[in-house]
Amino acid sequence: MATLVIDIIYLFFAFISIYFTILFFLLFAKQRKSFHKMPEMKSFPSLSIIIPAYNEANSIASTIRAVKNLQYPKKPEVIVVDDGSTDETFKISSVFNGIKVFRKKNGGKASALNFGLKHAKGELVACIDADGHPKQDALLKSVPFFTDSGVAAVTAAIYARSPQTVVERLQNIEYTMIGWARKLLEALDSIYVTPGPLSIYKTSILKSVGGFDEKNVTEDIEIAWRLLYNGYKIKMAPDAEVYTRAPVSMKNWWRQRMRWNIGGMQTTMKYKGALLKKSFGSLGTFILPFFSLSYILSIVGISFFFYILFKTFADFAQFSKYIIALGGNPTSYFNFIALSDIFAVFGTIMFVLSIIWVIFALTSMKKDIGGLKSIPYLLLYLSLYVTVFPLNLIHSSIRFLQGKHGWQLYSNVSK
Amino acid sequence: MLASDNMNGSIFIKTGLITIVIFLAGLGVGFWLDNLRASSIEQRLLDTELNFNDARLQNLLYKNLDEKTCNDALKANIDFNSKIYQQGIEIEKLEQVNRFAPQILQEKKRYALLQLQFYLNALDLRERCNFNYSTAIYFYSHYNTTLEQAQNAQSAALVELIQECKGFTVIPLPTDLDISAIEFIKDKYEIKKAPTILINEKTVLEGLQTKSKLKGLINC
Repeated sequence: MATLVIDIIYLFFAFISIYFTILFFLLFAKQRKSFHKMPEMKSFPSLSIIIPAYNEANSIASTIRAVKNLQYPKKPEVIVVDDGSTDETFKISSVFNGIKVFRKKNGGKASALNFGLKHAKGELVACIDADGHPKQDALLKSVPFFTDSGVAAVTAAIYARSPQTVVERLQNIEYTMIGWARKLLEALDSIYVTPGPLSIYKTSILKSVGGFDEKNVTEDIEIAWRLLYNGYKIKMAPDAEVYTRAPVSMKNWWRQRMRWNIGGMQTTMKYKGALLKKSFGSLGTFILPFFSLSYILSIVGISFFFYILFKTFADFAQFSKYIIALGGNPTSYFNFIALSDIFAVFGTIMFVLSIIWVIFALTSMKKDIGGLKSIPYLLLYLSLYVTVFPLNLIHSSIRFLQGKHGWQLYSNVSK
Repeated sequence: MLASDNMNGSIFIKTGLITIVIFLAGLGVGFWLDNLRASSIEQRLLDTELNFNDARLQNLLYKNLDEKTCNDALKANIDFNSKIYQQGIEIEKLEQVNRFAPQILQEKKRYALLQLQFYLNALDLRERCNFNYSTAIYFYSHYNTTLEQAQNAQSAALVELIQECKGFTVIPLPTDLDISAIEFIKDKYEIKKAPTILINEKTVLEGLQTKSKLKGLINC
């Protein structure tokens, strides 16, 4: 009976996982030719750039330089908001001419963005993390998406800046795939995040929905959901590139992902009332179910993995205990190891689909992640990395249930 | 918005259909693999059955076995024991992964009966050729999963004894597969629980038994 229940849960897990993978493949097939297409824009609107900064003395100067180098037909207004830094962030920022530098009491990234928003005069407002380095043409390749009057925000493709460590390289692969998936979700009006390294908003709309949520640890997820909740659209500009500092160690990566997960959970709870309601468009009919299922699938998937792993070790330990007591040889256990079963068949199907997913993503984003040298990292990504992530999700869920999700806990975590 | 909804609806339905096709294909492969393995076991059991009948008929043909024929028959018996024991393990492994081939249980019953036939043949050979090798019947539970690793360990220990002690013959019999011949043997030797080992039709040992203890009771 227990075996039957486990089989049914596993097959359900496999079905849903395959469903979402195929959905992305179909979205890709549909958008393949128009993937890099950009609308034409005759007159570019005025634009303000907000850089929220907290203890960013090491990176703020290079970010301001990158921002000042941005190509745009009208000179953008650049606003740096020092969110109560205790280092030299304010002093370093103040050295630059032609930008506005404000200092405020520490209140978190969202409060710094809202502060900047109050002072922004542009029709559009671009929010750039203090460690974000947008490519020179990033604005030219993203602002034209605002030609559609229903568009409230445009996001860019994020990449890791000069990835060196294994963790950074793995994230570079992941960022590339996230960017690809985000572009595909555009077809379903389901872009669920306007990432901090570079996202551009229509100022009037952003102000009308109340700005950023200062209580949420991932204000970039929450604002995206609020825009969709209010019936606005979000677009993705895959050729507008921004480079950010990815966490260099597993410890930093772990904390960053906890912030992302907890923020996602906070946002899911905030908008749970929209679940499966058509009146909230894709937020209710796709994003909320997709997010909720993703949490469940990740946890079910990792539970299965550990169940099988634990059972194998437990069986071997139990067998060894008995065979040693009987005076036999423990290696004879391997005679009893089972052959591949239906679990393995579906595991193989899902693994093959994952490889196809990665190939599609990397080729269509036209991003060189290191050619053949990247193969070990890709394999590492598909095996170890995707296994560790659900563990982080479990840890995040525990922290979330304990109520540990104030922005103060994550104020110095990588974006 | 309506057109977009229709487009989205159609892509979700298309996705669902493709997923169902892939899912069914996956189940089909699983079904095919299970049946392939079940057929392979069935074929091997059939071959074993033929070999066994061949050996048994030889025994019947030669009423008075001379020394050479006895030695040949013993060698054939040892080979047969090793082969049939290995097949038992294969069936056990197949049972663990089998989802779609219920005939495996039937194969297991056939295998148990074949084991019994082999056991009777081994007893006959021992008597007629005046051999002094030992026989053991290993009674185990098919359904009690809590005993799985303990029974596997006992089984592995017995395999090691088969390799170490020339002529030692072991017959594993499931106690709970509702086979009347096995029930008869259980009644005759008062076998109450699994695992239990019956040595040379005389000594009944309940529970797990060490190799050294078994060695002391058999001719090794």
